Amino acid sequence: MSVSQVAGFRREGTEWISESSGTRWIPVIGLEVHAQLRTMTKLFCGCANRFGASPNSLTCSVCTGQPGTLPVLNCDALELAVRAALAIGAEVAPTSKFDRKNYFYCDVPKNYQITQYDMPYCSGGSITVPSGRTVRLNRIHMEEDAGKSVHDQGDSTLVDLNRAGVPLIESVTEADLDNAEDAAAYLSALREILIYTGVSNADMEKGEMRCDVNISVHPVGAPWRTKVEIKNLNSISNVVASIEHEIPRQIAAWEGVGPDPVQETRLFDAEKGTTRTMRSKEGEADYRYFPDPDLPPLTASPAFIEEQRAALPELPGARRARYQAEMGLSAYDAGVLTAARDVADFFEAAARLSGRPKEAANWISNEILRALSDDEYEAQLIDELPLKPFDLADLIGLVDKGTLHMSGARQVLRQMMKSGKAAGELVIELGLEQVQDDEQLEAWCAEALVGREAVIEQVRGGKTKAVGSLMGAVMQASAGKANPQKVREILLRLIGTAE
Amino acid sequence: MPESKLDLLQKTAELARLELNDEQARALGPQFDAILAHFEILAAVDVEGVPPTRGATDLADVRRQDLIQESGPFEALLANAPDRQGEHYGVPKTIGEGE
Amino acid sequence: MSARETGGAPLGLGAVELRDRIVAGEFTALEVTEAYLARARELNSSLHAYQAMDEQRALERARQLDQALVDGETPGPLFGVPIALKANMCLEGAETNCGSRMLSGYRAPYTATFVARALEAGAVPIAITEMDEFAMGSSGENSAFECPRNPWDLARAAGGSSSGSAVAVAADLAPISLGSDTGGSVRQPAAFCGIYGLKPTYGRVSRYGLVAFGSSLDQVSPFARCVRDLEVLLEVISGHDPKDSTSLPLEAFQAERPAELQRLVGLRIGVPRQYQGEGLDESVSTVCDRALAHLESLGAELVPIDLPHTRYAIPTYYVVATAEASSNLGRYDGSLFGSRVEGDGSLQGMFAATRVAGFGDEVKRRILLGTYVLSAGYYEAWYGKAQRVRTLLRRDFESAFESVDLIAGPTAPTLPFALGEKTSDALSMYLSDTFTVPASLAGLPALSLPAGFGGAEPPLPVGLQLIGPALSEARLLRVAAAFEATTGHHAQRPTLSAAGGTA
Repeated sequence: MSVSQVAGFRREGTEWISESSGTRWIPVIGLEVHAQLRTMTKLFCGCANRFGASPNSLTCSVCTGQPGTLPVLNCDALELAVRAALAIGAEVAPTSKFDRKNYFYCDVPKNYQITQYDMPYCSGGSITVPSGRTVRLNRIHMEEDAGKSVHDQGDSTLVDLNRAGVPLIESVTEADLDNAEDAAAYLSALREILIYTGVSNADMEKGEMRCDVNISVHPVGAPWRTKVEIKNLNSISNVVASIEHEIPRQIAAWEGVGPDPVQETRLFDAEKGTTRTMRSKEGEADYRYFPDPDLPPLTASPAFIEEQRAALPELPGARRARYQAEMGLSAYDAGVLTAARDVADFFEAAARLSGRPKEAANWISNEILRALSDDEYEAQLIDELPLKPFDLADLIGLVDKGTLHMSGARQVLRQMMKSGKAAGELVIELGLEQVQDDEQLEAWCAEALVGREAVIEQVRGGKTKAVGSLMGAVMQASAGKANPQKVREILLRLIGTAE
Repeated sequence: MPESKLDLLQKTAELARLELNDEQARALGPQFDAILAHFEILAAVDVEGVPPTRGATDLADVRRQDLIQESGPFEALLANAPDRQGEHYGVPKTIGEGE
Repeated sequence: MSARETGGAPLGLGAVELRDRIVAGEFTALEVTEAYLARARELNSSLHAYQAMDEQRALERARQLDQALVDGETPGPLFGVPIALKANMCLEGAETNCGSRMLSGYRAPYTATFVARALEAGAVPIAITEMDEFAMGSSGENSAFECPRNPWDLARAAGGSSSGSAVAVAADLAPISLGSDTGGSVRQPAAFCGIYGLKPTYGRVSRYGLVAFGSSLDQVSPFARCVRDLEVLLEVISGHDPKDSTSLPLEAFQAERPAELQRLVGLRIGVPRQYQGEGLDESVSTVCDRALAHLESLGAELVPIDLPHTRYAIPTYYVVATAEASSNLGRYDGSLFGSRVEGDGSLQGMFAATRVAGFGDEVKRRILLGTYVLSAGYYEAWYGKAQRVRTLLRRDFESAFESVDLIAGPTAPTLPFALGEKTSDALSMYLSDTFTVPASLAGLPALSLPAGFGGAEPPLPVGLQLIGPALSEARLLRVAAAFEATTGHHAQRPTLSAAGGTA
């Protein structure tokens, strides 16, 4: 990501140097991320947790807050939340509880949100981003999502409660960040972990992951100043844009003649790329938190925590390191293969079955992943392919044994991804079995030498590489079935040069 | 009743979305005050080291399986809406308000 | 009870007896329902126990039950028995308005678990009863609709907040009914009306479908005119419900029902010093002392005990209950259900206008109180403190039950007071809950039984409250049954005429 230039400032590292005053400013940034949990049902009722259904079709008496209804906690939501905590090395609290956050709004049917206030289920943990910076988390808590209000129709605001009650975890970092790049890197890393562990789909476009930014600026060496909260950021690029806008805005406010920044909540306007005041501190609600009497407390026994830990997959960072150290893959290949958990799982199975990790890695990154984005193939996820890891291992074995040459193997693989037939079967079906018959090969080679004296001379002169151009002719004559290794040997023998 | 207390009462009413005009606040104020004055005896109780009661049972870890139940009943739910707008609940415009 | 001469009509019987006689073919469920509907039509205009009767629905259900019996289905323990439900209980399609303008016209979209269980047992919901708005009150006077009258003296309060449910059973507009008890809302009207009321152990009966007032205190509670009916109704509605996270993981309650009545030899009854003296009417204490002496004559031992934190129970209760209520009643804002007043055209303006118009004074007072005790800067001093004092109140009972089997004392400090007498003084109304709120705060079972009559003209009912350790309902019912078998107070009924007034 490139650092944008802002008029009136010079940037040195993460410092912003005001050209008018010469003051060196440093930003202080913390992030709050809401992520929807990937459960079948909502947090406290049995309505489906699903995006994109018709308005209010995923609601019931409980999630519309009908009088007399009561919440019952979704077991899987708790398990997923705990897995997220373990994945970032956080501590799961031995006891926690749910509280009510009281405020009046039309998309909160009970006019209180069930959340966790002073005893969240998780505290601590950290994520290290590629720049080397470690971002510490303060806490993660569980809560229910609000519904949605649609503002653009007629005289009324329309309320859709399908999202009301969807399980969320809200993670809150310490103010460990000082630039937009690291903020973006943190969000990407968090998102990757949430997806990888199956905790959340974390699709920001669908609102499955949402971010609020807390940000302030102060001159280097001076105490921290008033922080501002920016809400409603629904993409990583918006987070970057809002930070890049807010830093100079705050510096200008501190340095200028106008009022100093005040503690407030601001909304990011993605179209204008600016932030504007939503409400000031004085206008902030008094939420009157208190323990929800409808929900008994939660305890997390060591056995329960270990069960959740055991359910965690190896995280992408650890996998990448292992692929490089133990399997000899390049950093690039390791990165490609671990970007999605199903691909990494596929790779590991194929590598184990074939005993050839590098070949498996090449086939997956060069052929299979490309096919997934190609309309010619129906599958969009690796698990949807009819080709399974043992099929790929078979193919690698055939190439290894010399039964198939590379271009033939490519043909076979493409068919395998469409039909799911076994490699051996396709080799025969496509007539790709290599010709091993020495007499036939010699005949093709002899033919290839006719009229190629210049090349023969070169080879005799020690440039054995030149034999390649002769091989092409043999392969053409054999329709690709000649074993290239043998052809090379025969050509060299016929020319009278042995390697 | 002192103005500061009336102020507090009106702030509380605002928080509870129960608007009180001055007259109502003045009428309610003394009652409110008398009740709180009686409740002041709580202040004298020594609760050093006493944990708060959180719910009337000793239950913990009450959960349900993550299984989909039928949603609805949609008609009955929407039929109670003061301003039904098709499949939506209608409320006054909220531009610029809210969370 | 001695069944009134009813010319063959199935009135005046207990629920269990009525059910047995329907099953035996003496009456049909339809005849029973018709007889009760007719009696209600005759008397309700003077008693105001019922706010609504869905006669068609009741009759249709009675017919179905009769058919089921013909078809050979096994009749449940409340087969064909009319039951009245408090207006804060959800029965799908019925108006559940909680005695409030706010929910006027609100039709419950689902049926409460305990109501479904009563239906399963064969009961016939015959009417929705009047109540103090959102169960806040001790006299019925806080209903946005009609105020029920005490059948023993129509100028007096029936108690509250389950006023209509108590009046219905006392006046035989139904053999049994359900109320809800948060701080005494079943026990106190039971005492005022001369019938039984039993608040079960918190968590014994599911709250799913009971409109919440104070969530950590609310319990659905039966009213009846005899112990047998009380225990059968508790058996029917109790038991674990996966829809209520605070529901205890227990099978349905099972009464002991010993073959012959046991004497109370060996039973130690604690008599708290704090439930006597100041604020207690002499006419009430006289009746209660006599009742306690009677229990002693049956073999029980009376043991003076101390519940040292009793004087803090009222403030503790009102802080906890109003805090929970302020949050529970937040949802009534005109958005999704209930009534709406548009106000200034904004969303928040609509919320405020709706709530100002929809709630009565007492509800507003309590919401304000509850909002105040939870608000920033006051939480620890009020709500936080109250929940700690609540722990002390629970410990009072725990240590008392180390030396006694149950605790007995008056249910209410006064005889039924005159309507209008306390409406202007909220605090004195709150103080009338002194003896009932401690068991609520501790989540303990408590039963009010008809102990006798006090005062002069006319004599008015007095209730004796029995409080037991958690899950000791069977013990409370056994003691009540022994008292019932050897006294006649429960069998006395007010005389009523259609013209109004006691004849």
